[in-house]
Amino acid sequence: MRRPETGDGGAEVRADPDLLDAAADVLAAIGDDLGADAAVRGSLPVPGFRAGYAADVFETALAAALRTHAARARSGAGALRSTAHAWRVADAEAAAAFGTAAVTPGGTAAVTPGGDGG
Amino acid sequence: MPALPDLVRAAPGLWLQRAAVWAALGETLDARADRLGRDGAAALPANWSGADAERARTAHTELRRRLRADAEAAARAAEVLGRHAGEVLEVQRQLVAAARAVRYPFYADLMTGTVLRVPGGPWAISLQTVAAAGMLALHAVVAARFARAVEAAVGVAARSDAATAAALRSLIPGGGETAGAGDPPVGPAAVRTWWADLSPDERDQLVRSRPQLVGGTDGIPVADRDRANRIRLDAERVQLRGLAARRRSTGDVDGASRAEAALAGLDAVAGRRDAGGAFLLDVAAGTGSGRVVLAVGDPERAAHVVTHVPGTAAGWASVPLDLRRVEATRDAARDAAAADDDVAAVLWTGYDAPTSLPDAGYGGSAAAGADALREFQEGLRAGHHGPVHLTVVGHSYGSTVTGRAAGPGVAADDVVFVGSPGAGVRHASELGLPADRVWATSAPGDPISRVPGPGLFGTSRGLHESGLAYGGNPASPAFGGRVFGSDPAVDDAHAGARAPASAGADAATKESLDSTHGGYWDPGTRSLRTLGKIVAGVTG
Repeated sequence: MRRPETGDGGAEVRADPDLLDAAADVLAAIGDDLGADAAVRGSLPVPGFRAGYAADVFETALAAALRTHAARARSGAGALRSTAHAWRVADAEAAAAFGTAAVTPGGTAAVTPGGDGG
Repeated sequence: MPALPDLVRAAPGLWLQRAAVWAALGETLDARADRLGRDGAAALPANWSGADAERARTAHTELRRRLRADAEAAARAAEVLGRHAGEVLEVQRQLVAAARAVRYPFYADLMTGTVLRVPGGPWAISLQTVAAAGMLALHAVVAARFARAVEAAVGVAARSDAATAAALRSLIPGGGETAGAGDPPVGPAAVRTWWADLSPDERDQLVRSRPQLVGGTDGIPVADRDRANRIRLDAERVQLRGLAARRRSTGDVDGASRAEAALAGLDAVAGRRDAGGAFLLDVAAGTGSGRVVLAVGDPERAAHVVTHVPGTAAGWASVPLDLRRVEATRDAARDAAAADDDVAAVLWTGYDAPTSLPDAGYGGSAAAGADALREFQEGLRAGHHGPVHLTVVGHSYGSTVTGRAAGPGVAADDVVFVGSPGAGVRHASELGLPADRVWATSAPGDPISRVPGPGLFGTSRGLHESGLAYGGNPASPAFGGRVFGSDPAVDDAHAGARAPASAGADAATKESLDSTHGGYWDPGTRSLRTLGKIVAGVTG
């Protein structure tokens, strides 16, 4: 389980799990769109023309790059959701430790090193 | 570089379509990058902070940067390809204009770049007339003008092609790391592995865009080589048609006949391939009479595979004759083989065969041909699905090539010398095979065994006393192999086309050579039956 971390030098660590989830949803959708974009392949090289071959190579490489981008976007979306989940779990655990909820569900959690939670 | 038929067949409209797709994709990618950074969309929450937020922002920024870069690459590539399409379209327009400028009684053939005479025109008049002579002169002028237009058009297209290819390569996302399969490694076994590691898309792309590479590389599966070589075969036939027409139009009757004979040979290749059960493994003009390698049967699965190496004057024009011998060998071997054993027979003219024995010499054709044959055999072994029995049959000068290809490690289980002018080595023990797997036959009436040789012959293994023109006589008991009898027919109508012309042969010898040297594959002969048994591995 992941807990809220303190940044270097004691900087504030803050997150809004709902906004992270929202960003994850859009990022995942973009990943799906990029996956669809990768279906760009379509040209046929013309015998004798090096440009036809080069066009085919370019298109193949572009499609491969788009598939990679799509995978990164989906992976990023998954990481955002994991982060949101971790924040919620940590917040709930912290609240349990205090015997009361530190934040309302869906609210913003903030931890300041050396200061008060919530 | 595109040739005229490539230019005529090109469809720049399709390239324009691709360019439009790329341009639209560039805009789409830009929009996606915008969306990644827009608040309320995929932008990361502004109030998210901490080490995880920093890392997420770095990854997010990098993804946006790459999307922007690829969007720009797609847009620029679209521009490049669109410009190329426009230039090729313009060149095609100029070609058509030049062709339309050719007036009756002539017409322009766009596929060949030649100017032809309209059948039944003023040419019907006797060529002895002054009018006809004038028409000939006019034809020369018109043909030259059209040829200049063709040359200019092809030149412009070639320059545009080269510039476009270079520009597109420079725009490949990732700096070309995913630019394709590259060149194959050296050696059939390594090539086999390299090819297997490619994705289906990459393989298909190479077949279509680099048919010379795929079609001519030993180790690539025969089905893929066949597809690539079909492209090459069609291109060669188009060129030969054009060549024959040009020679006819310029009055070069002999040259036209040679081109037509070569075309007939390639037509025979196409016909056999299209009939099924055959694979075209190479076809190239080379520097001689044309190279062709055609497998009848499946050389990757047949239990027995024989490689037939023809000799002097072999090439495209001799395909009909050579193919008959290949089919005859295969039939004889199938008759002799076990019921479950299939046989594949390969016509291997994968070298530039000399036009005659005196022209052959040691250093050129045989040496180069031997290297190519050795690699081809390695490819057969490496590409076969399971164990295989491999035989190489060399005829005439092809036996010299075969002897020089053999040696320690050669991918052959049996080697057969038929009507040999010399095996290229002194003794069977130099061939890298057990002596009882080295076979030879020379018909009693075959003058090839009387072709005079030098006192010494040179091979990669040094100088040796000569038995024949090109080394030891494999049909001599002293050679150390197994000699089998032949009774070739004396009325082989095709022998003349294959006959090597001895420098000192008199007319009688030449006639005898023509009638016997090519008879080893005649139906019912002892030589053919024995060949079948050797190929089928049932000789004991």
